[in-house]
Amino acid sequence: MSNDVMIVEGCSTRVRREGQGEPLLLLHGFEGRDWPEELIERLASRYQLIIPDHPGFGASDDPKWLRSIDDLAYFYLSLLEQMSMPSVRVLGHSLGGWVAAEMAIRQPRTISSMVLVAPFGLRLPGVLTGDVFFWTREERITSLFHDSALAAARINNSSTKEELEQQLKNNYTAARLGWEPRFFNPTLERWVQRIACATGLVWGDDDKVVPPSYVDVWRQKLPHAQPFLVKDCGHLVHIEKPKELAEIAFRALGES
Amino acid sequence: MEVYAFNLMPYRHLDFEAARQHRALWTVLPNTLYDPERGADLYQEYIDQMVYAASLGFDGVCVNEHHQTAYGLMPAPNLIASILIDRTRGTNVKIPVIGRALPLVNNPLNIAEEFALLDNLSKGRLIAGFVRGIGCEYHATGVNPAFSHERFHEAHDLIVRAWTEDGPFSFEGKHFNFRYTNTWPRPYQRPRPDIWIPSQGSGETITWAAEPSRKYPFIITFSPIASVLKYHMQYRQQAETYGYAANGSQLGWAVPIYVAETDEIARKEAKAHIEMLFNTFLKVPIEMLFPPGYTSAASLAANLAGRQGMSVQDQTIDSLIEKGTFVVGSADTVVRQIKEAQAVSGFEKLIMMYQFGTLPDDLARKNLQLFAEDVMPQLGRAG
Repeated sequence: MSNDVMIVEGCSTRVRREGQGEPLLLLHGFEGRDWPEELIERLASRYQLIIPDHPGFGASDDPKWLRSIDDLAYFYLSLLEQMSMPSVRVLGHSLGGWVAAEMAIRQPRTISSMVLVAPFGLRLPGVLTGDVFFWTREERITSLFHDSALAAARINNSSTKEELEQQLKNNYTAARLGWEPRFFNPTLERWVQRIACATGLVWGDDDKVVPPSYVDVWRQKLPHAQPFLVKDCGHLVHIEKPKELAEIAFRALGES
Repeated sequence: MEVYAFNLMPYRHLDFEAARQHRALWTVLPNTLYDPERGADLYQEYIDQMVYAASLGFDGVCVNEHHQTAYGLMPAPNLIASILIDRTRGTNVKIPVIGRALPLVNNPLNIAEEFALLDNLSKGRLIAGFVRGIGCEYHATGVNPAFSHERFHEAHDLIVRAWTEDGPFSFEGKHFNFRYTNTWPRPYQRPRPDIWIPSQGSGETITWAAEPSRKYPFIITFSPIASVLKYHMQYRQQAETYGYAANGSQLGWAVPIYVAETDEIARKEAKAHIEMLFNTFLKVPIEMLFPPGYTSAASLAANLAGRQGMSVQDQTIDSLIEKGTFVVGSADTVVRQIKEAQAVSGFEKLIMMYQFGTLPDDLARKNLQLFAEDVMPQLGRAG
């Protein structure tokens, strides 16, 4: 394994690398990079993983040009060009799933297949996503999980000063990208059908952040996409059901 | 010293027991708890109080803006200002609107126009306050708090240019773009109405407000006296850094004040109402009060670590008095406290929040009257 720092579009970007084979880009959600090792190990057994901290998140810089989801999509297209990777698989969770979709409508050939786990980005009128910026810390954590024991453990685990600063940094960037319209891009809504690659749509059946009914909006626009509903699972599928998510990824992303 | 009377216009008839079932008196407090008949009477009561204050010799009567809350019933303060202007016609009573929340609008030229209109209606008695709005209002309006500072500065620049430059001209910004900026009417005052910056205190804002081309009066609102004076001194220091000595009229203190016949009576009469203001009207979860980007991450981290914000801890009248967040007592007590504070920073603007929380009409009027008769004459008035 290695932890590289890449300079992309002037932004110092933390990128962890794992495994061998064809590349799989992992795009994390609005809470920051929180892939469990169990998932990383499973995926790394088949793919060469590229695991960045988004600009504005974690150990990456917070560049001035980062103002909307478009900027993040163009950033990753630049990153892949810089890595000389004309075509990759992508697994994106939540905000990261939204970024993957934004990349795919701009440069469809860059993504050979992708898995979107509870992605933001589209709107289902009448069904609101959870108000992650309005919830208290306890409400937010409770709403992220299906398993209340996991939620309770995180609630009771008080953060260090450094962790708290990291969480704030992540949350500030998430708000900049998704406050209004709330985690939704009307342009993506108009152009999402440009996504032609094999696409898996994964949802926890108890997702309180992006309700599982959102899968219908995506399927309506992408009839070829394959839905996967994970039982007894909340928004953080990678944390609550890493083994299941890895199996789904193998099926949906195709052999390496 | 200049002395102004200020009323937030809280919905004091609220069913507080029902209201406490909700997370705050902001944003999600169901508007079914507002009774239009009682509310309409309340507007009349508050407006009459302020006209009364104007007749008692206050230099001005102030209004401000809040949204989706029982804390303050003026989502459009200029409408109230317009009434006050007409009911004080022929006087020299100032009408400070402290202020309009610039980042919350998508067309700041509307604010430039409305203020210019009020300045004409009042023949130059308008004072224009500019604020960013409270954190809850970013939830209420949908405006992205991450761009709050940017939008504030850009809207400010646009409004000041619209008032002071000959139109039409074009304006190109990040958030606001206008091919034609050409405000009709122009403000009555030349070159423009006075601008005040009410704030709970921030180094950035002081640096900006004290800048020599601005020299905007900086009004610290509802804070412990120690921080009020700290920020006043910081402003003075900043002015010196810029190479000038700040005038006392550039420094203001906005504070709830209650005067009665004796200290004991004053405390007794004010207690329930001031505690209602701080413990119920202002009790807001930190996620609502400080949405991401509204403040710097560093100051939010400090706030989270301490959880000492005024909104999270229950306060008693005694703790509020001790911190100097609330000035209450006989006229002599109140005069002494104001003069002690003034001796430190030399501020020359005092904004008296004479109505607070559930304070009823008779006590609010008595407060105004005793303040005007027994406190004001002792404050070294230019008048």
